[in-house]
Amino acid sequence: MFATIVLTTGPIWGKPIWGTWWTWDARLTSTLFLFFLYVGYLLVRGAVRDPALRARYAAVLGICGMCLVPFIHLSVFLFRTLHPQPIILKPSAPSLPNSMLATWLLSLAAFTLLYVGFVTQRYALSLARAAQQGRSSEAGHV
Amino acid sequence: MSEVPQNAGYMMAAYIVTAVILIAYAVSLYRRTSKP
Repeated sequence: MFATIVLTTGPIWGKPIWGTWWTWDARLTSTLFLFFLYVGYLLVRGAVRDPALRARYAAVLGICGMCLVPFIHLSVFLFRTLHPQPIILKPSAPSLPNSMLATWLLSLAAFTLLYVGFVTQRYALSLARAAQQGRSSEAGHV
Repeated sequence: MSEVPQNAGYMMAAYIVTAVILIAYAVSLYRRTSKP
């Protein structure tokens, strides 16, 4: 979901700044690839019936996605892209005004809380469904 | 009154898109959770 937000709002920002909605530079392309990995993850979770196999396949895709995240961050160093060099997550001090940094930190905290809330709710839903399936299969054996 | 930047429309569009995606997911999660 957050990857979807990045891939839709990024081009909206890019249009007035770069003059184009999309360009096939390293960061955008690798982020799109990450999005497709997550789509694949969700498809695997829905398609494989065996719980152990489903967990293994999904874990592999999840680890692949996580490995891609640092590559996306470092892609501006590795390739010539339209994206600027990092201004916050870099070895030296952040190079933006304090007011903008405070706004960014507040937004980061808000979105992190939102993420934790969504994951908690989604996990509870999965547990409830697993328990329901367990009860159904037990009733089927009786 | 402060001057409105030229790209304000794009900024509002990005906020609206973000809100729509987040609210849609929250509603779908709530509906699936509250289903008996």
